[in-house]
This record gives sequence, structure tokens and C-alpha cells, in this order.
Amino acid sequence: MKTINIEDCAEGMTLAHDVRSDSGQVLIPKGVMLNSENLRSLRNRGIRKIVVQDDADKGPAEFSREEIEKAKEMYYDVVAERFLDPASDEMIKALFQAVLEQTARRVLSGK
Amino acid sequence: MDISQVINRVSDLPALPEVVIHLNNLLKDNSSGVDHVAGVIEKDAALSSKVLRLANSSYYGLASQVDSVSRAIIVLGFNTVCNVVTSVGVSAIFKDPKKDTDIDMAGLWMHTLGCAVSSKKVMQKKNEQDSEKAFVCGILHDIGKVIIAKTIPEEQKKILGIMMSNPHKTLLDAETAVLGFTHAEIGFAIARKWHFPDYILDAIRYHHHPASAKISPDIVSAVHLGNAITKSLALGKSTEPRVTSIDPFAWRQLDVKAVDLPALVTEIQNEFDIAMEIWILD
Repeated sequence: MKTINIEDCAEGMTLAHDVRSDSGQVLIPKGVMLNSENLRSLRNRGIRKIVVQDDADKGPAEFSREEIEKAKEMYYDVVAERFLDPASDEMIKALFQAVLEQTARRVLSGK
Repeated sequence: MDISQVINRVSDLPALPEVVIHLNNLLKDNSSGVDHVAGVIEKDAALSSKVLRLANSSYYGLASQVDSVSRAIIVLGFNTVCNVVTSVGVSAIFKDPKKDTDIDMAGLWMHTLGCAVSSKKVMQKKNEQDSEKAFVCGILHDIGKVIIAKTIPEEQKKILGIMMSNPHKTLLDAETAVLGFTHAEIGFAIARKWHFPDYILDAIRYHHHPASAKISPDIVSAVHLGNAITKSLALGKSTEPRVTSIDPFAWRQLDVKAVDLPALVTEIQNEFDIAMEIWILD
């Protein structure tokens, strides 16, 4: 893992430590992949440095984007069935995508 | 059918431990001391030992061993201990040793636990102080389903029958068609009979309609969202396992945005994994 400045963060990096606020509240837990939205949120909250995984981290939670996308494809129907209509509004669509990503990572970690 | 008729049959249920009702009453006025509250809990030895087991579990992650109920109250606070006692007490009602109800009670308990964890996590985003309240409301939100399944089994069969034969009918539709009221309303009535505090009554009554909340729209919204997130992650098994709709009021009320969801569902899944180990019915 490595500690980097927020300016040097890029989408697709994975957090190696929880990011916490000054009061100790977990803002984003470790293991989450950075995207444009959560990066913006970190910047807005004034977070300066974060710890991300690097090539030396061969932990079980490390998967390539390709592997994750493949797992998402396999579990798409399973997750979709949990919704009466997975596309009924923007927040439900976002929840569906978040759960699908979480499910894919969980399956890949063998849980 | 009339709600009061159902409530009058509730004596057939395994009783909610006396100490749970006593404790919730005690905490309504804030004048009781630690020793007094601890004394009330310790009268029920089985419950006390569960409280200590939970207080010492990784779920609360305390640095030092807690060896007495009064110590648990000092370290975790009155409200958390009261919520633990209430949750342990309520879990007894979900037990179905003879497997003679038509619904999967163990699955419903797991759903309940998932909803409690999810509601707590959602609430933490806005107000850490109320997160334990959201947890206990999650534990109680579906208590009406248990009452229906255990006290009016014939009607329960009809409700399930409607849902089986028509996948477009939601549970609320089927309950209203058969009973004229829903599990939320019967749950509210029984919780009022048990003298639970107003925020719990509000959460049970309006967990499907958070915009109607009278007392605590934040907590009710947390339970509404927690219920949906739990179903989306398939934690446990609700009698209505699908996310039917989510009231936009609840997202707005707690200021939860689409961008927050990936982290939120990861946190909830992780916390549920820990919670499950210690809250399994035994």
C-alpha cells in the first residue's frame, strides 16, 4: 500500500485504509474503489492524503476490473430479481449498481 | 377483521420479557440511576448474560472486558443497553421451535437484523446519536408480521396465497385485501400495548410511508431505507423479499445521495457479517 496526496488519486484505485473524518467517523471504508463521485466527495471534505493499494498488495480482495465486470454479468439477474423494477428511479438504479458491484466482489473473494 | 380482535389474541404469543417493558418505561423518565436500571435487568439472569455476551463481542469492539450489567451501562450508555435488552427480548418472539407458522421465521429474524444494521448505518450518516434508536426500530419494524403469522394463521395463508397467484401484488396489497389493515398497523398497535417509546411506534407504523412520520422522520426514513437496502443485499428473508419502491422523501430527509451508496452497502454488508455471528437465535 502507499500513502498519496488527494491530487494524485485516480479513479479505479482501491482504498487500503478506511478514510475517516476528523471526528473519527468512517467516510469510506477500505476496499472501496475510487470513482469520480467519491473522489469529489473526499476533496470537498478537505481530505488531504489517503492510503491506497499498490501492486505490492496481493490481498484476496484485489481483482481486476475485467474479473469484476465478468462476475457482475453473471450475477446481474440474481440481483435484479430482488427489485420489483430495478430501473424505476435514479436512486433505485444507483442502489442496484452498488449492490451488483458489492455482490461481484464478495463472490470473487469466495464469501 | 378488527385490529383489537387480533391484539386480544396476542396472549398466545411467547411473552415479551417483563424486564423489556419495565426498562422502556424506566427510560422514559431520565431520572433512574445506573444501579437501578442494572438491577432491573439483572432480575432476568438469562437476559443479563446475553447482554454481557453482546457487550463483550466484536460488534461493540470495546477495549476492556465488561463483567457486570452496570459496567455495560457505563461503557455503552443507557440507550444502547436498553436497545440490546429490547432486541434480545424481541428475538424470543421470532422463535418458531415447532416450525408451525407458514412463514420462514428464522429468515424473517435475519431480515430484521439486516434492517436493524442497515437502519443504524444509514442513520449514522446524518446523526450518530440516533443510530442506536434506528437499530432497535429496525429490530421491531416487522413485528406485526410475526403477530399475524402466529395469531391468525388462516389469514396468513390467504395473504401468501394472493401473493403466490399474483406476483404484481405486494404484501401490503395482500394484507389489506385479507385483513383490511397491514402488518405496520398491527405492529404499531402491539408496540403501543407494550408501552414502547413514541419513536419506535412511529417507525413501526410508517416504515412503508416515511413522509407520514409524526415524531421522528429521520429515524422512520432510516428504517424505510434500511429495509430496502437489506432486501437489495438479500440479508435474511422477508415475506416481501423484493424492493418494491423507495420513497424519495427518505433519501432527501437523510441527505443520502447516489454517490454514497457503494460505500454504504459495503459498510452494511461488513457490519451484518459481524452482527450475524452474535445475534443468531439460540
